[in-house]
Amino acid sequence: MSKPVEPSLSPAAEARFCYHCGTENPQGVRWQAVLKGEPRTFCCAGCQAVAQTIHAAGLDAFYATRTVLAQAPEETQDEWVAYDDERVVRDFVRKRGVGPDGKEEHEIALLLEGLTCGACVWLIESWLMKQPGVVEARVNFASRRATVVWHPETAPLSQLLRAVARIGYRAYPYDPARRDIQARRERRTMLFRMGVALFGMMQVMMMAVPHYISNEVPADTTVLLRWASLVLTLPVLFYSAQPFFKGAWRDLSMGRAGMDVPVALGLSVAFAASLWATFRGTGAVYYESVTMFVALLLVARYFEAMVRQRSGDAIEAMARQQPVLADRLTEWPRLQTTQPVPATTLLADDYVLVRPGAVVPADGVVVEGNSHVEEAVLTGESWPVRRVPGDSVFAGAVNRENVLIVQVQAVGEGTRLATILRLVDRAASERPRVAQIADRVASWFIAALLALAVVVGVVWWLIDPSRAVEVVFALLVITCPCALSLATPTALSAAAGALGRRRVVLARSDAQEALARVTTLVFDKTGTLTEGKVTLNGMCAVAGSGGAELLSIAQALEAPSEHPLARAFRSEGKITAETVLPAVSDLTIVSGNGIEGTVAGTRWRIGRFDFVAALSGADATPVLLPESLARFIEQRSFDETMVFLGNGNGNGTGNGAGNGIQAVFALGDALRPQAREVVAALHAMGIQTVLLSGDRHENAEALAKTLGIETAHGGLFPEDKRRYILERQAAGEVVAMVGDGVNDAPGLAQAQVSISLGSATSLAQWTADVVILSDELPRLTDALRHSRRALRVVRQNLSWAVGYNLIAVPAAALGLVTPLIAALGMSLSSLTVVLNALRISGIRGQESAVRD
Amino acid sequence: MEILWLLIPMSVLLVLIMGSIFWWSVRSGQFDDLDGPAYRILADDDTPKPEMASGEVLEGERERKGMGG
Amino acid sequence: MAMTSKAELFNYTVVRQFAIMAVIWGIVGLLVGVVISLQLIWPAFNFDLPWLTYGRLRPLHTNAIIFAFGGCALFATSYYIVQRTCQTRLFANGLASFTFWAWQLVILLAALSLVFGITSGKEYAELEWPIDLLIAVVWVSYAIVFFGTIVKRRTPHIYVANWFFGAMILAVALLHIVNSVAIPVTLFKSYSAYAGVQDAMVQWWYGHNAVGFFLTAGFLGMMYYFVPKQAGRPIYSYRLSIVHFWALIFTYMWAGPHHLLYTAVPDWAQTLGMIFSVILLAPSWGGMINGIMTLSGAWHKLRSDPILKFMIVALSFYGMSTFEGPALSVKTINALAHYTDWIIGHVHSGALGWVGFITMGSLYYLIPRLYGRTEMWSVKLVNTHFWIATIGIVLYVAALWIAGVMQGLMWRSIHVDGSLTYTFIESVKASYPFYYIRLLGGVLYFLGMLLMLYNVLKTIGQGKSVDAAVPTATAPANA
Repeated sequence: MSKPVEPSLSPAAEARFCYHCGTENPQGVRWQAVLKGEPRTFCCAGCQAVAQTIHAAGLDAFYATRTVLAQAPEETQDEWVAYDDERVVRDFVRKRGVGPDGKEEHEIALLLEGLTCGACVWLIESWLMKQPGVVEARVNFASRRATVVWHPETAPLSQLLRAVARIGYRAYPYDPARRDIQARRERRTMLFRMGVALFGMMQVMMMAVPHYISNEVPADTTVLLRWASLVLTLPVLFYSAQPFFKGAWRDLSMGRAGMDVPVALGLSVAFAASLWATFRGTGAVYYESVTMFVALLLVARYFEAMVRQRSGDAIEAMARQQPVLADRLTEWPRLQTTQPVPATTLLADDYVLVRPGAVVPADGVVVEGNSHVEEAVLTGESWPVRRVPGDSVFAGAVNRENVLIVQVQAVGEGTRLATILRLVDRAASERPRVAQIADRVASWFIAALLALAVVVGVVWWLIDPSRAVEVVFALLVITCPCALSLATPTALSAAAGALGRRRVVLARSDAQEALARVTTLVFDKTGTLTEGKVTLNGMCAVAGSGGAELLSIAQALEAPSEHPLARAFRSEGKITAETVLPAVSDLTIVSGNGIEGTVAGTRWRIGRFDFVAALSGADATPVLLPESLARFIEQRSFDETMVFLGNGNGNGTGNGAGNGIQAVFALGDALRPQAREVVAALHAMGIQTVLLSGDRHENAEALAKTLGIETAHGGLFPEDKRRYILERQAAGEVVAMVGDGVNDAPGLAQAQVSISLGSATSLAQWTADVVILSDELPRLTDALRHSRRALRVVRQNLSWAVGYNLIAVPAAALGLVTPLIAALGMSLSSLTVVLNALRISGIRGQESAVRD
Repeated sequence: MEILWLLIPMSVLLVLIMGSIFWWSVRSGQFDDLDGPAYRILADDDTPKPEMASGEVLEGERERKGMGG
Repeated sequence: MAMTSKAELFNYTVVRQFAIMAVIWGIVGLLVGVVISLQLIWPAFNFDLPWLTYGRLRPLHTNAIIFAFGGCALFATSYYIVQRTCQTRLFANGLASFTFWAWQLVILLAALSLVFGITSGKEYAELEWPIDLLIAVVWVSYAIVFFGTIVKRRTPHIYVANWFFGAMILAVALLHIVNSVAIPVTLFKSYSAYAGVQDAMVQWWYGHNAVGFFLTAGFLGMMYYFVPKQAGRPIYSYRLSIVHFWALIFTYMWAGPHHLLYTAVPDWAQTLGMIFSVILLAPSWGGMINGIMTLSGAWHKLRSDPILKFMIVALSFYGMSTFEGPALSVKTINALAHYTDWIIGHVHSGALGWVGFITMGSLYYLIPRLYGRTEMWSVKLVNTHFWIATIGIVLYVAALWIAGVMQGLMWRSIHVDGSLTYTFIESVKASYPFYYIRLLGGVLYFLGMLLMLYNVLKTIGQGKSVDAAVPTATAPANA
């Protein structure tokens, strides 16, 4: 949690904003309540009820201590009863046996939604503890989980979940997976290892300092200090340093030289020499160097583990979104009876009911209902999107408005959500090429180092045997291969984590490196830069005819067509089942041209000019139109498509008389939000932009001009695009291609990086290296920027490592460095590179994560 | 400095004791959630209740019914 | 939902007892302080009675402030905090009651024995062996009550304030036992088990850590509970509080020899003490930053809330004196400051500023709650107390800083032939004006404490002793 800010609003603003969630109150209707003598206003009945519940329970302190405003509660129907079913919760409830008061106790792990700051933690805890039957309630803010122990005979589980909902949060039973428990145990072990090493280091250091500052320490004191240091070094070496020894052993038994090898070797040499000196009573001891080396290395690794864990968090948050329960419609469509079943038991073609506020349990198609769903977990975009029958919905999306009935298409591993998770897992399990190279270099480096250590040891033995151990130890310790082995993957995974939180999935581990080098970005079609949804932008009818009437004729004709242009007509004026359109008979769809049909006894055509004009038998060339229509078309922009409507009759006199054109409709595609800014940002980053389109050249050109794209080519086939990319590559450029993945497989494959934009595409085509799950173009620049930063950090780390070792190794070999300085130098060097890598994600960056 | 023969072993022992307390606290999950506890003490309301508190609740309840319904 | 017949109550009785006695002993200790500062100006104020001579009253003053005032405040707040944060009644309430009465007995015996000149001669550990034994018994009982309560806690997490109190209890037990080992000759006289410079080492290992654990760790525990509670905001960084706890307890133990710079202690041991004293700054400031930042974003509350003012000034003085301490332990600075009144100023900025102010703030929070009230009888009077005490402390500390530096400079100034420029008595005479100011500061601080007593008595008169019920897990929900 970052610095607390005072969330309370000024008195004047208070009346305008909801006391509970801080959103602006709607005008007119006012929900009010007097809480603690102060009049408060609310944005909705939900917030009001929650605030009053909190107040009545005497938990007002919540409002005084919270640091982030609450979320408005969702209006939910009571779905909780389902959780009373023994079968449903079998996997979640742990029976704890009979408690001290002779009642049966159950324990359950709950996943909480709506937690905004730590104040929520105690609100939920205190509230739950006030519920009858609850024995214990603990909320962990960090993991957003709660553990509740209660008496099932006093209160059914549904009562607890309902209670949580009453104060504006949502709780789901949750199966604390093994992985979770394991991660926690690892975290604790790591923390303890580090703690032991740090405490050991501090104490041993104190025992060593007298010798640094004075030559007058009495002999008996020296002996005493050495033995005390030895005792304190033992746990550090044999417990805290264990991972290094294990790692070294693993490397050696596989015939590799990993970075743990010199560490383990150095520690062993130094400790053995110190031990020998301690027993004999003469010679130098290096306990302080040993402990400090171990402690600081562990600190570096702890930070690294934190980065890795955090980049996994964003993804885990997605996985958590899968609901546990589904309302299966057993008798659909005959009856609307539902049965709660575990979501994993659903099958394809099952029908499920998705209530408002509930999470969609499987991928499927809406068959009934009309609602907005929020796909934040899938796309990172929290704006709800409309879903009507025929639309797809995905597991993990949250239904916001009305009941939807969904026909299941994919469940479990087959869902889009699961696929995303698999993509991420795959990328995470591959070792990026940069890291592989770094590993290989590190391996050579270490082998060379070991050889050098032997040589140096022998040489020093001949020169001055008393210093040989010290010099060898200093040499082994001071070299720092960790910039290679540790910092590179840390930087990459920090950047991947930051991107994951923005729902940019790196599907290949090398994607970041390639992204960072991109010099040319190719958009694969106009649709990538536009909404991809054609809308009716304007119409013009010839003088004397009714525009509305012509529109309804056009709509009636286009009604059965699935053509994208036809959809634009349908969405115009909100056509619903109730809207009465003129009846059409003898309707024929002429592919590539348009539609013909009879409305009220008149033959009509809609579509391309020549197709429509041909109805009157008039010659389509030259293109002659009534002046009003011609002027209208002139004023339209290039990227709009003109659709003509005409009947066989004439249309007055003058130009175009006789070709029967009655109206012209301008249909166009809207630019994606911020498309212009993104192109400008790309140029600012020194990236050339290219638009390759299968569309007409003028269209491509016009769009490119509007957006400021440097080069545009139209009328290209997929193979042309590939060839174009090849040419650019031959000129030494690194090309990234952005597209929706459809039709452009050759180009995408040819480009060094392929970026797939958008939620619209089916998953099968997700062969791209980078998948941007949301439709937002700015994510593109985010991805490029983060990758560049990651690579820059990697490069910084490498040059640091090279510079450092160039100075440190010769100095150590010449015996100019004491073991303590060596340990300090190496540890600080590791810490530097890891912390440098850490900058990418920022330790406290978690708040900006998408709500999970 | 014979006293060091007492002080140093004692401090070593002390460190070991503190270490084992630390071990216990890590193991028992004392450091698992380092945000919640700060709020938890605020949740514990130790202020004696003023007498009129219940009246306010009723007032709020009445308004809700009047306005919301 | 059937309710259990009788709700469990927190043990506020022992908290009340200690809290009231903290105020009373505070007044006693400060009064003695005022008297001895009078004596420094007008020695006649010992009235030629041996019991009132400076040499006997000075240890009485320090013991009364540290162990009577500070001790009672620590008992009161730790008993309160451990119950509230563990959500359970004290463990072994009879024993808790014993700690109160026995501790008061210790204080009385200490006061009598010191006035009668019975002392072991060790600073901050002057009490003779029978009293030492009694202290050991009380302290062990305290540990049993405190840790017993921790063990029977209803919350899995142990709040950070309890860690500080726990460390204080354990460390003080150890320090007290080791330092007080002595060979009794008669009932009133014993000789330390250690000899010469060894005794000095042990004594200052004790002396330093008594400051570290008793006056720092314990009061930090107080700070970590009452500052967030009074501000109504969570501690700025709970993580930092944990880290700084462990760092503090691991570092403190070693800085002791800085009290013995330029003595017979070996040079390397002195330097060691100096180095670790400087390192100590970091964990000490962790606490200060954490406390002050807790108020960030709620600064406006400072305007209207005198209790928070006490706390924030306490934290400022804590920050100041934990900076001053390491600075003074640097040999070159110490060469100037050692044995001058600067050291007295340093101690008082810690004792009056940090310990005194955080205790007063905490007691002002605590006392009304023990008597069923939401606030003190007069908040205005609290505010007056705050300003009087603040002016008093500023006068006090500033006067002694100047006096100390002046004395140091006078003592070290030499003629070209190597003889001293000033005699010692000249430096004493030069210090007089500052002693007047110091007296004025001390009197103001004392007056503030009298206001507090009056306010406390009024609050008690207005309310009645209430023991709050332990919030139970199975309270009715649908009330």
